[in-house]
Amino acid sequence: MDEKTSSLAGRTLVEADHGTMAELYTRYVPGGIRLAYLLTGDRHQAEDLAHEAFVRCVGRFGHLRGHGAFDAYLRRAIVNLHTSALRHLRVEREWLRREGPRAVAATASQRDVSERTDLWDALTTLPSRQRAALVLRYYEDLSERDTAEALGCSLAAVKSLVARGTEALRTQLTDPKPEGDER
Amino acid sequence: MNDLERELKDLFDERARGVDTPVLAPEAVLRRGRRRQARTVVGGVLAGVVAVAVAVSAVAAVRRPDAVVPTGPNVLPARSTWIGGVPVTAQAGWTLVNDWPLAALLSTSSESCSFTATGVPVGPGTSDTSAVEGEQQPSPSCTTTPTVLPAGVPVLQLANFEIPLLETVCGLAENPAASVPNDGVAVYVADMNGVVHTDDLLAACPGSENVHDETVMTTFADKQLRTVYAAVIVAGPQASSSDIDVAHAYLDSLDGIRITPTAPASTPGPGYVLAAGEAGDQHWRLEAGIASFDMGSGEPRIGAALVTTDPDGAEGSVTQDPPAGGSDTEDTIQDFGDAGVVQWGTASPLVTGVDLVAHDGTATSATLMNWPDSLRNLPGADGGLDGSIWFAAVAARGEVRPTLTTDPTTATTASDTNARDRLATRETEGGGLVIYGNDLGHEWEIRRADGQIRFFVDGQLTPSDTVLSLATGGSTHIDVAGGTFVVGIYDPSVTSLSVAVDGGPTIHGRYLPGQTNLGEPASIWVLALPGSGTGIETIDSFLPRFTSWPTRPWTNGSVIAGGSDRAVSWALMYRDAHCIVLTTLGADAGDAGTSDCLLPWADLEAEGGLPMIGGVYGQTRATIAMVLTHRPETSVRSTDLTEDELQCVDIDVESAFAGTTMCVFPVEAGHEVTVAVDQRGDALGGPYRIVAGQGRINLYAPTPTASP
Repeated sequence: MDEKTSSLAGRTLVEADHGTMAELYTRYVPGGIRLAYLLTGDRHQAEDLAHEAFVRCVGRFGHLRGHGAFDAYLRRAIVNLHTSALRHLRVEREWLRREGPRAVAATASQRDVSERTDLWDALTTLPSRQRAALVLRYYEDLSERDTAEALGCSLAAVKSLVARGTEALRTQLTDPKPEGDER
Repeated sequence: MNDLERELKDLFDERARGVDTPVLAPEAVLRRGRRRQARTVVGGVLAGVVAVAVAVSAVAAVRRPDAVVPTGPNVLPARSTWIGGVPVTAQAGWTLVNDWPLAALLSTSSESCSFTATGVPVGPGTSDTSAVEGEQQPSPSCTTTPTVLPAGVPVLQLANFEIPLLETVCGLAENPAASVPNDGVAVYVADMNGVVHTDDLLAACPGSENVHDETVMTTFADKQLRTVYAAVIVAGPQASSSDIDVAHAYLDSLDGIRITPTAPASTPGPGYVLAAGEAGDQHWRLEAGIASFDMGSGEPRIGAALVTTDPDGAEGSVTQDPPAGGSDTEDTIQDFGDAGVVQWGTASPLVTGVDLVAHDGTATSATLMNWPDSLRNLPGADGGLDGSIWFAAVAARGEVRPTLTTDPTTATTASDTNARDRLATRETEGGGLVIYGNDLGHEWEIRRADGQIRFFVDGQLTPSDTVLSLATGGSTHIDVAGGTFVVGIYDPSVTSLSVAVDGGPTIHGRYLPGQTNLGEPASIWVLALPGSGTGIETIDSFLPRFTSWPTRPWTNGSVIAGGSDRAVSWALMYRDAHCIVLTTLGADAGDAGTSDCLLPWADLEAEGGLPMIGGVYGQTRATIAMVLTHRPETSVRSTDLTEDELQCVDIDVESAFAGTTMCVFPVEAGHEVTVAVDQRGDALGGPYRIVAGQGRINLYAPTPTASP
């Protein structure tokens, strides 16, 4: 191992300088944006969400011992931020509902879900944590235990979320309803 | 995997593939990341990164920290120390700036990427393109190159004038050079990131041309020869030869040496080095500058910091804000074991001297120094900078005895001149005492009724829940049209109660010595808060507390409950119908922060009915919030916590939070607390073992529920 290689191998995340941070971004954020998109259905919101999560995670390098940990933390931060962002959106919707239909239409038009399929449509009606559980299990291919870790809940809660989510999707697909409130 | 699950997987994959993602990291995101890092890097971690302390034997005679010799009131003493591993001695009265923390914020490299894609050409008439779709993903090839900073990354500046903080006498990438007074002299020392282009460096340092007939710059390196440092002298056209000689002597001491670089402490900095010394095998520096960044706005907060360097070269720091409210002094210590302690703090403008009195009665006078003037121009500065910073090296922590000015001019400019205003009283026909006043457009009285001390507004008894406390230490908020009264009963030693309104004035309370219903001596305090708002309540030198008014309805920022001890004050703050956050202020600035949203129990119940654990994970202490319910009754027990430490709030206000209980407790960094939760005799998950580190916690439980 030459001197250059040796010094690079000795670098830790704590040293995260500009170059390392850019490397981390390139390596993990695109995947984070895709995950966020599946959670939100909105590309702009997904990018904002992934960027915010990235900034929070790089600010906490002290916790992390390897890139694998960064990946997990980024995923978890995205899921958490999504939950709170959605909550904010719900509050906004309540307010907009009181303000009148024109404003509601404006909000609805922000959603960036084209080529809706029945399944995709049905997914958007699921409570956020059910949807997150499905995305983590079937897109990220996480185990139930890792999904629980990412969602910050118990194994039993993950099983319940996935079961209720898939059941709701089946019901939606066989008996579609108008779009309801999103959690 | 059944059909639906397979369909889901295909749908997710298909949708995810359709998302365009940036290949290059946006500079704005990286900048935010670096700022976030600057706030959270901790000294303990740096120990693993930084190499070991160096013997700079060749120059030790010049640079070894000497005992601090005060040179008179408000004059900077001589200081010898290391900054970023670079040795420096500042003469008494000269300004020494630690710029090394800027290294965490300055971009030192950039990245460029090129793209290649592979695929099978599709000829005319070919309709099946599916064979190449999977190979069309561009694969970036990126290279990182150093950003050219002609003046490098600043490490320190030494000058016979006060260089504004965040400015440097050699221009950086986007910032012009700070102006040098006619008689000014400064030495600028920078990490050149491996390369020195002399002409470019001198061109970035206006005033270097005024240094004639002598060496104007020198270079030195780290022991591993990974980078090179440069030191440059700049001077005004009328600089004295004696001052230029001082600069040259420093350059000579650096010429050709080899240093062991160190990373900056967790204090974001930069800061002015006001004093320095050594204790045993450690070194310390007292700095005034940027102590932290506001978690919300990102603006810097001005404060003092004691930075220590251990034998391994790792830096740590403790920060102290200027005194708030009616406090005259704040103090803290850095304990060096057998080598004694450095006791230091901040003082209000009323303080002209500080004596530290040991157990045996001997007094040591502390050295007082003014806050550097240029700090007043920074966004985080406030009136607290009218006071001073003080320190003394003593054998053990002493009792702080400030000497207060008797100058009426100074007294009238003090922040809490109304603090001792007394409440008006009158006697009733029956000989009883009535406290009365007119505030917020209301006539009010405090008098005894039905055996209780009660508060009357416009002749009407306020609601029954405003029976004033039988014990001391409590306060009650009473909403009226036009504002809110704060009525508190405190120990008679309390001398001030005030609320600094966010974005507004500081409102002071009035008091009257009296007794509680139990006959204990106490003072009754009344403070009238107009309209609605949020602010910081301060009682004497106790930690400030968040407050808000009126008590109802809750709006974003409303304080639902709070508490404090000597280390941390905390508040549960309403954000929206499904979000309450825990927010803290700390005696150590690293313990201040705001948690992620804490959810209503109803939300948690829908997701499995287990407690939620969140909080603020500070540098010396984690303040934990645990979300539970009291419907049904749920008990929380921990043998690791005292009754005072475990504080629970039942929320029954009509809202999504009705039925929610929030328990708040501390876990000191390096310690752990185990909490058991029982509901109707059954364990509600857990037991939950929380291990606190610096800026983080680890939660061990059968069913983990913590947020990252």
